[in-house]
Amino acid sequence: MSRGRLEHLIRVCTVVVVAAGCADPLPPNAMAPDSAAIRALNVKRVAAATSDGRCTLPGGTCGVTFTATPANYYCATNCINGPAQTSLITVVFSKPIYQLIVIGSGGFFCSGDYGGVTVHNAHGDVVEQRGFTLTSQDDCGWDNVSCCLGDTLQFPGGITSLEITPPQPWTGDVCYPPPSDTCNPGYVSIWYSYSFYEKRPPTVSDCLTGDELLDQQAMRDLLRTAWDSSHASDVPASRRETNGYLFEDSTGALNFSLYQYPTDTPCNSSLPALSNVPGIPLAPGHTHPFAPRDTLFPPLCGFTTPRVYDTVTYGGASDLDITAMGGDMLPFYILDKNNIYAYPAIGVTLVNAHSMVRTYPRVDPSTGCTRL
Amino acid sequence: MLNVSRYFFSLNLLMAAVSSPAWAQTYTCVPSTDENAQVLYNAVVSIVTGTDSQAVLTRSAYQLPAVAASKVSVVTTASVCKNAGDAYHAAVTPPGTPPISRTLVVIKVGTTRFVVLDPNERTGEFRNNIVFDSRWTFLIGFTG
Repeated sequence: MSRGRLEHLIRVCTVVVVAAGCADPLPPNAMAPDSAAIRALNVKRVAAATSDGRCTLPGGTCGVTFTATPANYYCATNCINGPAQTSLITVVFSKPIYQLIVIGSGGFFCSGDYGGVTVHNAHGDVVEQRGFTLTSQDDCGWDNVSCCLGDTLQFPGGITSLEITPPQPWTGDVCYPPPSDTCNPGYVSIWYSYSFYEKRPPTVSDCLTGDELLDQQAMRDLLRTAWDSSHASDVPASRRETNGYLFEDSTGALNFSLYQYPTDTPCNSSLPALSNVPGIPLAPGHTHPFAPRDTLFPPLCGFTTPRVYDTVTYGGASDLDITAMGGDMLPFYILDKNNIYAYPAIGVTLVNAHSMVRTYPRVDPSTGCTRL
Repeated sequence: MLNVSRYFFSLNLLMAAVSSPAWAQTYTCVPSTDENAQVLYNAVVSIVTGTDSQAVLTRSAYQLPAVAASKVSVVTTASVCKNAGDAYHAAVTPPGTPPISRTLVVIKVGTTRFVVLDPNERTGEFRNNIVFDSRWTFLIGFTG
């Protein structure tokens, strides 16, 4: 990066390596791609990423927000966008994000340490640590300064917070291009942007629903396994409502656990407390081993007169499903012979359940594809 | 589904205890503003006014007629409430079970059907909505 370009970067508020003697413009270094061009490539890269469903903060229109403490930049001195700041940056997202890319833009010394990022899952556990790398080694050139760093996190699960450590050293010499042997002190300044998916990308290949969790293979496996364990093809008295939890394990992968108790019946089942679920609980799912409008004859479940299995009143759930699940602030899923019923995490009441539920046929009537 | 049925079972026992002896049981029919009444009213209206094939099948299974929403109402009349309570108790309990006090939702559908629910009466995780004709003859229940 030439000193002239450093001045330019200062003006556009993207790089703040301030070198003494800046008033003397220097000829551009024709051998190395300049930092402005690289930043432009970075912008294109972010735009391309956004167009594939990614969101970028700050600046993007995202459902997720973030807070950075003390602020989202490092600056050793002579800062344009705020006071000098060298403290650890802690970033907290308003809800989990996925497949994070951290991009740093500014000015820092190629011969130093580029800093790094530590990310946490919803439990606050450290799930990945990475040192930043240069976006383009060619940008360093004769001045030992580069504009851009970053890294792509590999953790596949939800990320809720992170910490960023600064590039080091804070100050160093920025030299004039050869044949000059003049060097002046320069200072680090850099700030960060975050590119991510707001939802967990689907892992099923077809028959998508648009529901974030229902389009995960692990959720379909949970419902399929629960259904198989419900013996729904047997006579009604031999069936068992079966419950399970989808959860994210410590590697970020999705997994599920099923729970069956001797007290379970075709019309009732139990779940353990959330604290007993391994990993980070994402959603309970359970079966109703009947088809809508099936007639359930006594003495099944203790009925003394016939009942029709009803999916109208609450849209597939029972009132107990709604009241019991509502407190967990998790979406929940019910599977019967014909449909998957998906309820959102928040806002479902007995009165609005019928309008809040999203119903997905197990076999899509328009495309013929099979979900379960 | 978290199993809270024991809570309701205990509640029923407690209600039975405080309202004994059996001949002193009372039936309280809730007004249309009650949440349970709203839920059942809305469900019944959607069933009896629906025009798609699923609604037709559901009406048939639930033995309900096709009528306008204006013909569906929440009933609180004492005499109707008494009949509804007696009929409901007979429909959801084994013969000879002593009557208990109940809070009821009674929905009248046209001139030929009543749908009755005691929100505290459960089988498994399910509530029992019971359909009667105008003479309080049990027709079918629906539960979910």
